[in-house]
Amino acid sequence: MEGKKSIKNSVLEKIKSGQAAMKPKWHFVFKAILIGIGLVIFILLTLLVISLIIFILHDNGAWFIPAFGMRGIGRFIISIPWLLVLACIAFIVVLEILVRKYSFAYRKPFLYSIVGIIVFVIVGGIGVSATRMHDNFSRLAMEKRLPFAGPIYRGFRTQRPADVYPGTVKEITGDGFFIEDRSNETFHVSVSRVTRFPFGSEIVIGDEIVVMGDLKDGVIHAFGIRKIGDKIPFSQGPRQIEIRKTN
Amino acid sequence: MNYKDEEVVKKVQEGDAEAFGTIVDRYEDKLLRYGRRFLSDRDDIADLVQDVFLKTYINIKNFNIELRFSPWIYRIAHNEFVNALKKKTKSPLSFFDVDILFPHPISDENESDRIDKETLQRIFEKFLNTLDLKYREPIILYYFEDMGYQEIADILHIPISTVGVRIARGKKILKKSYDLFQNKK
Repeated sequence: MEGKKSIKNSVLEKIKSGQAAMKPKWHFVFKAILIGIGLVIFILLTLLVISLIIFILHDNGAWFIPAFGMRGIGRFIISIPWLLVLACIAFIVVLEILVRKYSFAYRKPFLYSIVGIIVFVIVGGIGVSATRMHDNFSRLAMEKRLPFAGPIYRGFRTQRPADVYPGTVKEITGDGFFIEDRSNETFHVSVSRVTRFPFGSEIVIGDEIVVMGDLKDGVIHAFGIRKIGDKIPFSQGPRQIEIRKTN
Repeated sequence: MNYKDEEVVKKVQEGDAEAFGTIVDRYEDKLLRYGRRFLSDRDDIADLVQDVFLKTYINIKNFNIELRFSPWIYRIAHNEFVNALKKKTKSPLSFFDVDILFPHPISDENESDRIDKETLQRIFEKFLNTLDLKYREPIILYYFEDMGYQEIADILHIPISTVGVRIARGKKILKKSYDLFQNKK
């Protein structure tokens, strides 16, 4: 009974003497707003990084090469900007920590919230990558008019997978065609019986394509060729095509 | 007048510091009991409970009176006790395990479980200290503090289904200890 009295008296004494003071309501509102802002910032950062990864892979042609089989898949994995992927994982971890402060998240198994976050940021990232945002940022970066993120775009733009050549078909020849890449460099592409056309082989002048193959004496010996339909990441290009191969 | 906890808290929030005495009266025994079962061998439980009340008062404007007060103050007590354990034990306490990763079916307690609950309380009291903290705490809250699964989930910040899993596993472990004890006798 004495201990009971002493706890109550001691607590009330500290309250009355001002040693324990109530924190004002605005303190908690401010804290909640800060967490909310943090959540929004990390969501935006994650969307930005995921869409940038998709943009980079799309831009250097690596996005399209898994269709060429094991060699394509291997090259694709090597071409992934792993530093950005790690940054993305770190942002997702922070997002999960922030989200689990809310009862709707911690009352459910961890798997639900983490899968929910991953699906949300991937779908959102794909959505952002379908816009012209990164194209515009990249253009500004190449013109050195983009502060902060400029070096990131310039750095990744100059790194292309060794045997992947995205470009536009400029001329059809007897054994293949010529393509011009975005730096206006022209390559002769040689098509043979072993060349893979996972989505058809009808190639016409003006087509945007990705060629995978070894460059020897100025000629790319095509291992795989596919069209790029448009700038939408999951687009696979036209399908009904007449196969035309030369020896 | 017998005001509900939430009504008393509203008075405190509006500046009636004396009303906080009612909160201390209502929760002191409960928190001391919770602390004793949680921390077992500690002799400074009264000091820790006093700190729980001070923290409750300091943060009381963060409490939403639309919700139940009891899980909120137990959450503060849980944090205080866990911090006290962390200070004492050298190895870091980990409350993260596979139980919270995946969904589990929730089993509701029925009438036979309720009868079981009273018998189990007596058995549990004896062997509670042998139980790992992650199983001990939900068992204390469920069997001794009369909390529901959702309230325990809110206190421990773990999924509701995990509460059920930990209670069931804790019960199994306690039953084993009890059977072993009976066989030795």
